[in-house]
Formats: sequence, structure tokens, C-alpha cells
Amino acid sequence: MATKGRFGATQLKKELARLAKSAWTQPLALTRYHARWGRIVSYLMWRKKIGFVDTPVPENHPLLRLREYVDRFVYGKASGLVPVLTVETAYLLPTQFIRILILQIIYEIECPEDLYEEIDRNLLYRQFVGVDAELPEVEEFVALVQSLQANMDLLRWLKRTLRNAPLGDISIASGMPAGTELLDAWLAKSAPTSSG
Amino acid sequence: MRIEKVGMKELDRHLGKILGQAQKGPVIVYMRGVPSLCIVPDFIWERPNPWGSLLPPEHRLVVLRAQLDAKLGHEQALLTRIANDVNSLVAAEGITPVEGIPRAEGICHVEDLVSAEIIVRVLAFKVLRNIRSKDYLLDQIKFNMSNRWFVGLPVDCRCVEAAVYLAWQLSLKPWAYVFMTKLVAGLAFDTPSTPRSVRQRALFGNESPQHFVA
Repeated sequence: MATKGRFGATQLKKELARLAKSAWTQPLALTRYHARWGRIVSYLMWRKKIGFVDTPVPENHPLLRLREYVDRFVYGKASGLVPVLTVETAYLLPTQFIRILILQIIYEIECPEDLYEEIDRNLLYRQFVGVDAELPEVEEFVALVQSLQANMDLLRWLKRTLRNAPLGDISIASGMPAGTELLDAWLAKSAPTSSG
Repeated sequence: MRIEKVGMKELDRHLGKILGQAQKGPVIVYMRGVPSLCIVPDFIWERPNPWGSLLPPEHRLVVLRAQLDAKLGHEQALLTRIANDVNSLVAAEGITPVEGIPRAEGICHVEDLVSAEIIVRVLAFKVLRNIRSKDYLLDQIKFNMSNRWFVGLPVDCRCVEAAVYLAWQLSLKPWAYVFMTKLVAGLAFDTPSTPRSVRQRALFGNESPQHFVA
């Protein structure tokens, strides 16, 4: 889409509210010393530019079927999730964090920073988690994930939920085993020692 | 990808500083807590796949692609062979190799839609990530936009399926195995994010040796 006008910082400052609103419908060209350097576009247009709009994920993808399965537990037995419902962030819901942990478990993405990166730019994973906009900053994300990995009640709930989950289809589709070994490792790490 | 986020009040108060920041990378502007606008420099916007500019220079994909492309620069004869093989493959089948896409939108000639370099990068990605499933390879390139940049496909490209299909078919050829083994020698994608299961064990242990293993 063509841009509208050419705006330097001075004019932008004078008419910021109006120009910002008009950029929702048509991009504004930005200049500095009369040389064009950038544009203001709507957020939707930006998401389209980075490929987050026009690549539909097939509804029958094994990962999305797993999400349906997990969501039945999440919404059907919410009382069991009280320990995790206290998680608060401006960007993600507790249910989204549950899906994030499940993603981490089945693909064995051990490092939270790598998990963040995958969800940040993988449309399939974003759809599984239910993220439609921006993620929190990576530091906040990592801290929240790490705190949840140490939440014994949540880990046990995940273990029960994933016991009969349709992970076989994901194993076949991905060509690698989708199991719960990472979850078992977290449980072993968080379990109180017998001596203690 | 770290994208700056500001509110309208902040934009109003510190406009000069934020515009200065936006000349280096995108800035998302929030209105009433909702992302509404994005200030983008042209050097990012005008790229067919802006992810190359969104990843930091030290990112493993950026480093790996530079190393791979440097090696490919010395392999023109093999690139030509790959282009010929892919063309032969398409001609021999006499159909679009694009599964699930109408023939009219499928691939007609590899050079029109998918260059040999792209096919080789898809193959390299498969080898370096030790991917053993065509569906998973497609998922990784179709839905992960930075991986799509790595193989050289624009974000709005409609021939991702074609590129993956052709690369997969080529991966079954013994000569391609020899070529790829040589090409990726010394390169590594083994990061903490590579699933432990992929690094340490394989579900399909009796898989055909024609499938590459890095």
C-alpha cells in the first residue's frame, strides 16, 4: 500500500494524535532532512509484513488436536489449577502458560529462552498457545516459566493430563518421540528429598 | 527478536528519541494497552522477508546462513546439477509436486519459483536439524518465519510446499547425500533448543540410510 504524505518529526509532533489515527488506514511516510527513512503502519499491517497473517495452520494438525484435548482438562477441571491461576502477566493468561509448558515438554525444548524464541516466531506454536499479539519481554517470560517448572502441584496436574494425551500423532508427524521425559525431570528436581 | 514497545503518551513526550530508535528497528506503539501502530524503517519494510533484519547479527541462523552461503558460492556446478535434477523431477512426474495446492498454482519450472539455492538450504536445514519427517520439515519452514528466512523464502511465498517437497525428493538420492555431507561439514545447528530426543535418540532407528543424519 502506498504511503500518505511525508512527515518529519516536527509535523508529527504537532499532529501526533491525528496522524497516528490516520496511519491505521494508510501508512505515513517518515522523513529526516527531507530524506525518507521509514513509515508508520497499522499493527495489523506489520503483522502481515512479518508473515503472521496469511499462513493458516490446518485445523487438523496434531498439535492443535492436542490443544483441544488439553483444553478439555483446563476448562473442565479448573479447580485443579488453582496453584497456577495466580500467575499474572500483562501479556499472557495462566491457561496460555499451561500450553506453553506442554509445548516445552513434548518437544523437549529445555532452554526457556529458546522456547520464547520458538513461540515468538512460529505460527503453529503461537496458535497452540493462543498468542495473537506480542509476548512479554524475554526476561519476564523466562522467570515465569522457571517458576512454573518448580510448581509441584502444577507438574503433577500436567502429568495426569498428559497421561492419555494424543502424543502418538505428534511423534509420527514430527518423526521424533513426543513424550513427557522433560516433565519427569522437572518432577524429580522439584520433589522433596526423602531425607529432608 | 526484541522490538521496542511504547505507549502514545511516551511517544508524544519522547518523539525524537523514539523516532531515532525506530530508524534502527521497529517500534510498536500501544494505544490503551493494545498494540495499534508500528514505526518501521524502510530497510526492514522493503525486504521480501524482513526477518533477516529482525534477527541480531550474532543469531545462530544468521551466522549459519552466512557460512552456508559462503560454501555454496564455491559449488556452482553442483547447484546447476540440483537445478537440473529438480527440473527433471518436475517434468518426469508431469504434475505439480505441490501437495494440496491446485495445479495452476503449483510449480512449473524450478527456476521460476524455487531456486536451487533455496532447495539446498532446505536440505541443509533438514540435515543440520536432523529432521526425519517431511511434515515436520514443512512445519518448521512454513510456520517458523525465521527458518523461512534462513532458507531464503519470502514471507508471502506460496511455494513453501514445493520447496520442501523437492528438497525431500532430492534427499532420497545417494549423490545428494554425498553432496550435503560435504556441504554441511563443519557447520552445526546443535543448540539447547534442539530437542534432546533428536540429539540422543531416534524414534525411527531402522530408518532408511538414505535419509540424512547430520
